[in-house]
This record gives sequence, structure tokens and C-alpha cells, in this order.
Amino acid sequence: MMFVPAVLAAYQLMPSRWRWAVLLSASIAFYAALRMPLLLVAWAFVVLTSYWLGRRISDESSATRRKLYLWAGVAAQVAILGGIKYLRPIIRLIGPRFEIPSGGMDWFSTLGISYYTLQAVSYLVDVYLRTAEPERHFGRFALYLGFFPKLLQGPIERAGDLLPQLQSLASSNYTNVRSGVLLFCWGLFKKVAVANRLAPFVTAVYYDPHGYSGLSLISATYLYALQILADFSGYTDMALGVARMFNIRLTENFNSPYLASSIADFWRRWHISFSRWILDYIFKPLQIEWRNAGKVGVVGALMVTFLFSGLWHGVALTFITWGLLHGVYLASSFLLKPWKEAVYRKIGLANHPWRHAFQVIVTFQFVAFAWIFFRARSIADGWYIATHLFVGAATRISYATAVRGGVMGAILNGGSARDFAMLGAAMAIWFLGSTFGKTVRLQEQPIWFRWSTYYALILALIYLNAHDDVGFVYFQF
Amino acid sequence: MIKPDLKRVILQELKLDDWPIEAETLAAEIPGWDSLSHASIIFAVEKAFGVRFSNVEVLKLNNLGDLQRLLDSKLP
Amino acid sequence: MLTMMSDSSISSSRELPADAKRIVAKLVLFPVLLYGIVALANTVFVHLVDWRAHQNPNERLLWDPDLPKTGLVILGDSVFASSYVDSSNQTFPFLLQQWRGKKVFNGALEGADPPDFLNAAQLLTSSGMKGATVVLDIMPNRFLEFNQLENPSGNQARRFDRLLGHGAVSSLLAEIRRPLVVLDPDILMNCLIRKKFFGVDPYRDRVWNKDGDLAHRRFQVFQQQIAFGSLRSFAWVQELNSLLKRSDDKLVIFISPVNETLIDMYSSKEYAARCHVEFSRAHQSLVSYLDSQGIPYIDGSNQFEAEDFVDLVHVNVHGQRRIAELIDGYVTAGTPISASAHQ
Repeated sequence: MMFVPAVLAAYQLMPSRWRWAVLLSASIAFYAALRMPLLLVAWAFVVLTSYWLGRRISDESSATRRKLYLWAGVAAQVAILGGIKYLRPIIRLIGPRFEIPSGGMDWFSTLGISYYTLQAVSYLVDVYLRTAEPERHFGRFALYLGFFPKLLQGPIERAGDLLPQLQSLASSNYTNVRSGVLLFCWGLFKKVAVANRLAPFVTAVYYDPHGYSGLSLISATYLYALQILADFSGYTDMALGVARMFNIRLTENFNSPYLASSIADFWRRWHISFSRWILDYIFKPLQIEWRNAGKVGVVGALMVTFLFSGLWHGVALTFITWGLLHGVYLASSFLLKPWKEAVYRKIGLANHPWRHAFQVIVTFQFVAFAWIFFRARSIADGWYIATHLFVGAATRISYATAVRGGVMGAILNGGSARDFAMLGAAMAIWFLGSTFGKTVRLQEQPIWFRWSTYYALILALIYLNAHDDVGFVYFQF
Repeated sequence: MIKPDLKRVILQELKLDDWPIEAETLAAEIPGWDSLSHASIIFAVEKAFGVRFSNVEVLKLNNLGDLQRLLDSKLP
Repeated sequence: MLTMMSDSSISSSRELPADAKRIVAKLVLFPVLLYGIVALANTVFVHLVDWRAHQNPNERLLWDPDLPKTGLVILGDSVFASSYVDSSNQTFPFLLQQWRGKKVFNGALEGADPPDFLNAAQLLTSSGMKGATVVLDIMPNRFLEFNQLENPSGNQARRFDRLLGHGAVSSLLAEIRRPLVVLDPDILMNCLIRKKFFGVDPYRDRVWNKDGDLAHRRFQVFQQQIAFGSLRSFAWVQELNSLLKRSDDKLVIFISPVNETLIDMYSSKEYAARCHVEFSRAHQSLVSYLDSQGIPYIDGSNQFEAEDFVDLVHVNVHGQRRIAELIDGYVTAGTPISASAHQ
């Protein structure tokens, strides 16, 4: 809790030339405090290889050599990423008898690795394409990869966005610290008051889906869609807020994703830094490579891209299914595009004022359906849920649920009405904050307005926060 | 300066009657030109002019002006 | 909010406002004003609403900011939490208070385990409890092994953490926050719905063999979970004793009774015999331990009738009265009451 103020103080006191060192040491201390030495080593490896190769790629004149360095760099990052993520399953395969002394450390945690390896790859490619200058200052480069607000769960920053900012680290000003703290608190609210409160209603069902009716499965799935958004966008806000205190702007990761009017639109609004990464570094190259194959080439590129997306999220069939499902969505949408207008005319929505709303609602259904597989504990569970959404009878309803009965029971699934009411309050605040946050320029309002809003947020945090051990959903990647 | 023959190929591929295309125009500003149709447009240009771009060259294109310059460099 | 806050662009070139004093003044005024508003709301709330009446008396330690500074204090688990009555004036702390004319604080918590007892003592001593007599109930079977592992942090760890804090800053915040009951959503909710805690099934006056199969079902669960064999460690008792001694508080153990008749009724002859032996063993070990540590105790074994019980270990209204008599007897006489006196 004292970490950020301490770093901020040190940052302010240091002359501008050494500020990067303050942030870098803070970031290393931050990562080290997680007590996962393997990750620190992996990070150092990523930093060293991409730093050195970045300079080589830029300085080298021979085209083949440059390409070689690029591929070496990419291979190194993929090896690290894959190796760390697969480490636990591999060790289990080799010998269940292998006891690794833990001493309180989680040796197999993958916190952060998935993010900065991708960032390193994007750096190397951008240097190769000469769309970015290589960073020659080792300290700044390490900071670029390890900046603590974004270290654990992104956003994945482009060289062109973050490196220039690290060149000139201005001293913190009051306005930025203030708005940074506000953004951080808002993110915290989304995480502890909304996402944490949604979690039990989801977990109850997803832990044992066979015991619940179709209505419960649907309810839990919708709630999960909200939970993962609140959780991840909450984390992102916290990261952006902290970065802002140091005058650093990280990229926006979310833009009202459930207001998307198509799956393609959804991916422009969800986990933006990640989807831009897979677009620029997997989809585009593949699509261009296969442009001779016309539509088949595009579909192929889509499927590979989203297969990667699934795998990146987790080495499990559920994540792969989720990824491929989105690939299928996009491919179908692409292939059916010529007939899209005709269909809309057929169902009478072609120029209807509600067409957009219709598209948004339908898109959300597809997205929510895909989340089933993302959340399910196994592919069997996922399949069960997907195929039983409209099957009525439950095999097991708790006494409390039977008493409350019907729809409410299916939503509560054993949870208390009181908790649900508090969840409702939290979500109302979330909704209000998201909607009005876009139009009301808080920094320009009179002080009594600002302070009332701050107080309201603090009280909301006090009243509505829910303790739990869920952690951040996206931490596991 | 975007030459009329390139403009024609692009409009044809996107099934547009007309659209202002200048050197600084970005792909995203032209209706229908998104990441999904990007490759097919490039391919159509290559076919129409009988050239072949390298993948890296295509990836480095930023706007229509870049495309015109790239095309010009490939034409005899 | 995201767009709004991000497009008020990061003004990296903007200087600090000329008046730095204003910023400092704001930074001080902000929390002070917030505290003032909340404190005011709290005062109004506390005066207007009989909020204590709607809170769970079996968790009083966790919500009542008025913690005892001295006198007679009860700590323990569900045995002492006094749930199986129809109204609060049937609980033994109330009776004791009435008989002795002095305040008695019931800090027992449902489902508490040794770590919770220690946390409770920590909370009380750090709130200024001195020279008090703390009576803690211990069921002898607490030292028998269970198949289900105890949570090493206790069952109320999170709530104690919130009350005690876990560092200098959070402890200070916890201190500041404690009297502000209006900030507790549970308290507000309970007042809003006028929650009742006594006389509500299953928490009401009942006798184990005359009121449904609650006792029988519970005993079956107990049988599944108990594992005869080694005994658990008694060390926490001495740890608790030392903790209390540091504030001049005296620890008295109340060895709570076991419904032997129930064991005989609900199990086979062999099992019942084994049970009696094991319970006896645990009881004896506990007594020896307490003697060796010089910790005074009230031995409640064999001091209760079968009709005093709700199940294997919990007592009803009748039993509450008995507990009150025993404790009253001890406090008056100043000497431990042991089982041997009644043998």
C-alpha cells in the first residue's frame, strides 16, 4: 500500500536523468516481491535477448542477417513463453515424484510472462520493419518491458507508444496524480465491488453445472460475461491510473466491448492491446502470405490467429475451443458478408432504427456463448452447459432455491437475495460511472462536485467491496 | 498523387462507385477496406498490374501514397 | 470514465499550481471532511436507531465498538454463544449480569476455533481490556482428531483481520473505523430488515430427543469426522493465557459437558464405550494440562442433565441457567469447581 507513494516520492526527488532508474528498480522489486524467482530469470532473459537482437537487427545491413536475427528473437520469446507455460505439465509428465521445494513460492506461476514476451516480439518486428527505432539505453529498454503497472497483465505496449514517453520522464504534476488516483480507485471498485460480487453466483453453477437448470446456466453465463469485463477492465484501469501518476500513458484496453455491433467490432473493443497484437503480428502477415488463396487464405489466417489466442490464454481444450469459436464467428461473418444486406432486408431490419440495437444484442449472445468455454472447468463441462442451456429441470435444487422458486432461484443459485441486491447496487454504480464518465469532464467541474464524486466512490468501495480469494481472472495468463 | 488506374482497381474491388482517394488517405477511411479485405485488395492490385510485392513491403504500407510508390517501383 | 480521464491529456508540461500550500491544504481537508461527514452520520444513526437490537448477538465481538474494559468477559465457540434460546434474557451472560449486577460481555463466536480465540483476546487486550476475568469454554472433544482439517487461521480470520489490521497503517485505519457503525453494510442491512436472531429455527429452545432429528443428524456427521487416536495440541491454551496475562487479565477455562446419554442412545454399545473412553481420556489430559500450567478451570462435566442439551455439546435454556450457576459459583467462591466434587 505504501509502495506507490514511496516510488512516487523517489521519482519526484530524482533529477530527470535518473527517473528511469527509480521506475526500473521499483519494477524489479515489484516482480521480486511475488517470490517467483523463475519468472524474474525469464524476464531478464527476455530483456537481454530482445535488447541485443533489437540493436543487431537495426545495425545490420544484410537483409538475410536481419531476418535471421528477427526469427531468432521471435523464437527465443516463443520458447520462453511456451516453456514456462508448459513447464508444469511437462514436469508432471516426466515424474510425479519430482518434488520441487516451494518455500512459499509458486514455482510454476506464469504471471506477466505472456504479456512481455508478446511485447518483446512486437518490438523486434517493429524494429525489423523499421517502424520503430531500437532503444539503445539498456535501462530504459528494461523499463519498457518491465514497467510495474503493466508488468503482470498488460496492456501490451508498442515501442512507438511507450519508448518515447520513457525518454522524457517529466516530474509528476498534481493533476495527473489526482486523476491517476481516481482512475485507480475506479478500477479497484470494478474489481472488488462488481467482479468479486459476481463471482459467487457464477462459481456456484460452473463448479457443478450438472446440478443446475438451463436457466441457471444461462444466468451464470451472462453474469460471467459481466464478471470478466469488470475484472479485467478494472485491473486495466488500476494499471493505467498508476502509470498516469508518473505521467505515462498506457494504451486503452477496453472500449465498451458489449456495445459492439459485430464480432469484428467486439475485437476492436475487447483487450485492445492484445487483439491489435494478434492482428498486426499474426493475422496480417499470414493473410498477406496467403493472399493468393483468396477467401480460403483469409479464413485460414483467421483460424490460426484465434487458435493462438486461445492457446495464449491457457493450455487447455477449453481455451482453444473458445479461441476457435471466435475464429469461426469471424470466418462465417466474412464469408457471409455478400448476403448480409439481403438477410437484413428479408427480416425487415435493413433500415430500421433498431437495427443497431439488434446487432448489439445478437453480438453479445455470441460472445456470451463463447465465454462458456472460457470459464468451464473442462471441455466436458463446457459441452454440457452449451447443450443444456434450454433444458429445464434441475437435478438438484437447494431448499432455499426451491422456496424462492422460479426465475429468481435460477439466478441466485443458492446465493442470498441480499448479496444479489448489493451486487445490483454495485452494477448500477458501474453503469452510471461508465456512461457518465464519458461525457462529464470531472476535472473541469467545481470542487464540490468533484469531491462529492470522490466521496461517493470511496463510500461505494467501503460499502460494496467483497472480500474473496478469486484474484484477478487474467492473472493466470 | 494517386493515379486513376490504381484508384479504379481499388474502387472496383471494394464495389464502390466513387470515393476520394489521396496520397494521405488511410485504408481505414475507405468504406469496406478493413483488415479482412486488405489482402484481397493488394492481391487485386498485383493481378491488375502484373506485379508481386514482398510480404514485408506490404506490411510496411501506411497509406495510399505508400501503395502508389510501391507500385510505381515495381512497374518497368 | 475511461475516455474522459484519458483525453484530458496528460499535461506533462504543466507546472505545479503556484500555490503548493493549497494542495497540501486540500490533501488534509479531504480526509478530515470525509471523516466529519461520516462521524456526523454515525452519531445521528446511533441515536435514532436501536441498531444493537437487530445485530447477531452471537457475533457481538465482531461488530460492537463498545468492547469491555474489565469485569467478566465470555469467550468461546458455539457452546457459549448461546444460540438455543428464545430470547436474549435467557442466555447465561444475561443471567449472570442480572444476578451479579455487573456487566458481562459475551464475546463467544459461533464456530470459533483456537486461532479465533487468540484473535479475540488480541482484539480485546489491544482495545484496553485490563484486570478482567475471561471465561473460555473448551469442549474436551476439541482435542480429538477430526478428519476435516481445521483452518489454521481460524474461521473468522478475515473479519478479525479487518478489526485488527495487519500493519501499522491498517491497524490505525481499523481503529478509526471501528466506532463508525454506520459504515458497516451488514449492520445497516440488519436494521433495515429488522433481523431476528433468537427463536428462529433451528436456534430456539429445544431438547435433543424430543424435537426432531437435528441432534441425531449432527451426531452422525460427528461420527464420520471424528478419528480416535492421538490428541491435538494444547499449546494454544497456554499461548492464550500468556496473552491475557500481559494485560493483567485472568483466564478461566470452562470445561463444557458432553451429552453422554445421547452417545448411548445413538450408537452401538461398542462405539459408545469407545467414545466414553476417548472423551474421558481427552478430559483427563486437559485437566492435567491445565493443572500443570496453573490455569484455573470450572469443570462442567457431569454437572448437567440430559434434558439440558440440544445435541451432543450445545445446551438449551435449562442448560444456560446451569452454566450461569456454575460460573457464578466460581466467581463468588473464587475457587475452581471440579468434577470430582460431584462424583
